[in-house]
Amino acid sequence: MSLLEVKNLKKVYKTRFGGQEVEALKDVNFTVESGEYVAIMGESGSGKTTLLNILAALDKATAGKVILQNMDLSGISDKAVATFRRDNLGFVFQEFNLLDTFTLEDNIYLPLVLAGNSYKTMKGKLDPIADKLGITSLLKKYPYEVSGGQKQRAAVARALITDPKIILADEPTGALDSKSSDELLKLFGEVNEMGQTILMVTHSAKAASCAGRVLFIKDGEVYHQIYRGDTTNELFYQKITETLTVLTRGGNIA
Amino acid sequence: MRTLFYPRLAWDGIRKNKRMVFPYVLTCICMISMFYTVAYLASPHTTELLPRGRGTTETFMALGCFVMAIFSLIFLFYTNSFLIRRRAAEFGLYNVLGMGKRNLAKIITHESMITSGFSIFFGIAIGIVFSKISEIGLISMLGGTITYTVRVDLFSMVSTVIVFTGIFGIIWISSVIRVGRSTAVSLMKSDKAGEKPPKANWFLGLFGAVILGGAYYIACTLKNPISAIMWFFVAVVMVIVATYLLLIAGSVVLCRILQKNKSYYYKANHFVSVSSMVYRMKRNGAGLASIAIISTMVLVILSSTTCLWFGTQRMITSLYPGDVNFMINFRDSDQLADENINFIKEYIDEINREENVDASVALDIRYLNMFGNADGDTIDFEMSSMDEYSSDIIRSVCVVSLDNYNEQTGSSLSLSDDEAIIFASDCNFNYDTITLKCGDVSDSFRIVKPDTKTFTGADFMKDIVPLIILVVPDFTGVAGDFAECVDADDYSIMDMRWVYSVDIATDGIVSSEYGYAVTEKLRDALEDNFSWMYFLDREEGESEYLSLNGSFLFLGIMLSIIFALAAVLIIYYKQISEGYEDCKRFGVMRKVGMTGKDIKRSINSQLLVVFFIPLVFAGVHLIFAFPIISKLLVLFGLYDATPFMITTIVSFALFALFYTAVYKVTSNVYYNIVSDAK
Ligand SMILES: Nc1ncnc2c1ncn2[C@@H]1O[C@H](COP(=O)(O)OP(=O)(O)OP(=O)(O)O)[C@@H](O)[C@H]1O
Ligand SMILES: [Mg+2]
Repeated sequence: MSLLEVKNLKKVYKTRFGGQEVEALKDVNFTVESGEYVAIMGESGSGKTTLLNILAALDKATAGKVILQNMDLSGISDKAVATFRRDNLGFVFQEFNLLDTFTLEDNIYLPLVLAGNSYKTMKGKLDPIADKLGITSLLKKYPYEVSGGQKQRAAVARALITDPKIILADEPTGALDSKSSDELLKLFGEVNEMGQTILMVTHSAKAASCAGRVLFIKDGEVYHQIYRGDTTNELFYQKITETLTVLTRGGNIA
Repeated sequence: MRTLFYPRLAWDGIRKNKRMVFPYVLTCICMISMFYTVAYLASPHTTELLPRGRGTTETFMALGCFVMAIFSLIFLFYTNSFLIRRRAAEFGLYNVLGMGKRNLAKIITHESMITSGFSIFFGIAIGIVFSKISEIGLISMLGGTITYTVRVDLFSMVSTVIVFTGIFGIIWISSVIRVGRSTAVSLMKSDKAGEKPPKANWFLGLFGAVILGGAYYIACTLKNPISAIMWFFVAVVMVIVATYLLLIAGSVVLCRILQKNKSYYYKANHFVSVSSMVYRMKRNGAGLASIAIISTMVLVILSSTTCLWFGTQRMITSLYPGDVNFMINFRDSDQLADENINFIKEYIDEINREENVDASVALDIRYLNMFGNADGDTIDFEMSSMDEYSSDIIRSVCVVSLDNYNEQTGSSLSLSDDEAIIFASDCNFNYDTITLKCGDVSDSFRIVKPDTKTFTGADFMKDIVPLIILVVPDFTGVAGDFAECVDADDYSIMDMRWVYSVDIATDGIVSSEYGYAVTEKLRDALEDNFSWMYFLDREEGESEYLSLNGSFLFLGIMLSIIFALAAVLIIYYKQISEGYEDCKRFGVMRKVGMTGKDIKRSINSQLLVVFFIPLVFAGVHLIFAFPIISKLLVLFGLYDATPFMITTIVSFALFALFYTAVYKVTSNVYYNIVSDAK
């Protein structure tokens, strides 16, 4: 049984003044096994963010199913959806989405506080994570006082602290320089090795080359996917770039 | 073309930030129209309409304007400083893009000119409407003819323009300095960074407490609010300043305490609300202080004017014991003797018989009235020795004979020659004896407890000066002892008064005509034996008091509405501006798993923490304002503090309800803004 199953997913955006409809997702099908590290790539406007938002139950699909551990997301009531998200999903955003009003520590605690945990339990969970992410000394600082990479690490800590079934990341390296990106990707790799399932949207072939599998989306469908297998990051990276060039040229993949 | 560059940038800035600027401008407009309306009501043109109390009303309104100017300055200054903080990011960006500080200052200048010009123009326009409505209401209260031509009071308008140009000028300079002193980076980050606690927070708090203590001290020790009216307003301004200082410092301390308490802070319903309170701790304090001050103003105005209104009947019965009330002041104390008084009463009865008027006696009191200085249990009537500035010790002494007292109150007390009954109002006279003294003459009495608390029917004796009513067995003796000495004194005078009130039972008698006829005849009959004589017609007094107190009530309600509107606006402004700020934050929080219910709970939590604070402050201010206001009410003829106490409590309860409702409604506005967040 897969951890995540996406079946015939379709999303049509209706523009506000009726008329034009945008079909962001046409018919998306794929599955994610527990412990997998999957990257999603595709051109700008191909529907990656749309897909991720639906997976995160932030948006509703027009048709199709998303099943997370035998639970149909469309079956969850509006009320329960936030709790569901809090308990099962972790997010890492391109823009970090840390809150100015909280210190990094409190930002990381946020989902746990909402879940009603006590300070002691939270602290117990935070310490090892902060240690691993190397942000222990920064915990008392506010977001505007730390660098972008540090912010993103805090955001990762916030995603990890709830012990989610799956981490959804939308271009997590998009706002980082290459050094910070490398660090973050290394971190994702480590976390994944420890059994954490990760689904990451990215534009960067380099980021994708860290994943175990890459899905390519085009025209609202999963166009192609490649597995890393036993290859090294470098070889996988080459494969990905080759696929991308074919993809943009619009030819067929052998 | 080039010359329009800055105005255009400024206009763009305002347009882009309209969510922030609009509530600010609205607040400015409200403040300005309030100021104009009060200035208009303070102008002689309006106060001229009042049958009485013109001078007092004028002074109070004028000083009220002054207080409002101070309040507007503090309030708008704060509001703007938060606005500038939000705008700073944009200015930082311009700075990075190559605009110098000078150019930024130019943009700020143009923006200030646009917003203040706009505010002043519309503020006055709305003020003109408000003032016309007030005027119409006032005239209809007073039973005059209503005209619908709109009058613009030039003086009020000019003073409004000057005051607010000054306020906006100060705000403008502070904004320019603020932006001028910051670096581009700190500007760009300034809407991200939370507020820092003021450097010497404890000192500010302490300073506020000291000022407040001083203000309360002044309020409690002022003897005569009219002669010390400047002090009264000094106290008001001190209270305003102290409220701001205390609430800002207090809010900072409260935030710290709440955040330090881990088991409180890390609760789903407190976490978000406490952190956003910390984020804007100063603004929170300032907002609460503004609400507290406005609430106090509303409560003071509302409770005192409604009290006057509800006390009108009481006022009338105490000032006009009968339908027609004759007041005669004699030249000689012998004239107050029974034989003479009975003779005059006979004469009046005769007139009544001739005119077929059925009149019954409502009150018949003869008394001596002298002013003296109190020193312990001694009252010295030699006023030439009086130090003019120590008006604290001045007392009005009224002496009534025991027979007269027993006759009027229906009691049957008896006193020996060296005993007296005392009714002392407004001053504690806790002595066993009382000594009256003038030069070499002095009379001492042992004080006997009266059988009632108040001497009913003697209300008209009251004065601003504390009153001592002395009931003595040997009335003529006292009169004889002091008359000569008191009259010899340049500053002092002994009044020998007779108050004779009658109720008329016969239909068709016009009481004023009757009173007029009787006084005319008495004047002839008494020849030269009296110094003055007049009569008070209850009907006339009644209509006058009703219209006067009615117009005070109207003014009071009008001002309360205006102030309450301002309070609503402040709360609304707070919710809207915080809503837009928090909007994005709540969006993130929902992504992390915050439910709509969580949002509601966190809003309620914040409500509970800060909601009561302004009410508590207003309540305490009110308690300390109570003595001074009851003294003011005496001036308007209301001698009993109980009705004022009742209206104060009722106003407070009603206002608390109103405040709760406004807070609920506006927190829904806030909720809608933040829950729309994507
Ligand atoms: N709320 C919306 N209303 C209407 N159309 C939308 C909406 N959101 C996205 N779209 C459209 O749906 C399509 C997919 O958008 P999406 O944001 O998923 O792309 P993406 O793959 O994430 O692009 P990028 O790589 O640039 O982030 C685009 O054509 C976009 O214009
Ligand atoms: Mg996207």
